[in-house]
Amino acid sequence: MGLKLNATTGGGSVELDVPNSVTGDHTLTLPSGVGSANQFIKNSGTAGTIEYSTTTEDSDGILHSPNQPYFMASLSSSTAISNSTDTVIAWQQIATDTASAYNSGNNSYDCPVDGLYLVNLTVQFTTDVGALHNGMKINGLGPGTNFDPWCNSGANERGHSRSEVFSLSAGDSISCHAYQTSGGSASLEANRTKVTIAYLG
Amino acid sequence: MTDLYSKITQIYPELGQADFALNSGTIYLKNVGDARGDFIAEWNHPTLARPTDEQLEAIE
Repeated sequence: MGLKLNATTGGGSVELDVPNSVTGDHTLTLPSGVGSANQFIKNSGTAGTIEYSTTTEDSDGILHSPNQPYFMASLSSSTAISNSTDTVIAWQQIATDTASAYNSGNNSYDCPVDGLYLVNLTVQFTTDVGALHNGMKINGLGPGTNFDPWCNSGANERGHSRSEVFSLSAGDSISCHAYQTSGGSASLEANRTKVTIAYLG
Repeated sequence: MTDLYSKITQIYPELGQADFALNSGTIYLKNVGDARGDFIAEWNHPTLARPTDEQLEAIE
């Protein structure tokens, strides 16, 4: 049984039907407004109440999810890294943090939701150093079995950039690390040392 | 101010970079960005004793 709506002109109609077999009584509550162009509708946090999603699809079929977690940060001043010392990078300039997920107390990005995270870390010193290491840790440890947190770009190097994708749970923390063996302290260069973290879904 | 690596190698001149190497070394120095600064996270050297705070603080 359905609700048949006849068109004003053209002689046709549109009918809203229920499935052939239904057990129990169900109510779908429609949104109170018309929403915005290109929005999706979805089941809200209250099942059966329909609402508009913040996700939109543009005319090219590209989906836009403006509240996806994204983080972009850098150093605004040089930071000393002692010889042979695993050092967590404390980000100073937070350009974007859509989920407010950066924890300046322990210098980590705390994942707001489960999913895949793309991390790109560029470590650059103000001068060539020995055994330049670029490190990414999850919850303070290596990301996985036989998956070392470090990449050693070797001696007499100044900078190194790497990317990884991690499958993480809400609450997992991502920290960025630097290490060098020049024999003394060396400085990470402001503006050039930077990170981006993007949620892939 | 002398960094932790230099203090330790002043106490034990026989130590070198290899002893502090990531993964393969027996001494692991760390800095997590808190008030502790550089600290000894692990000391697994087979013969040399971990320096005391007093030994380290005695070196300027």
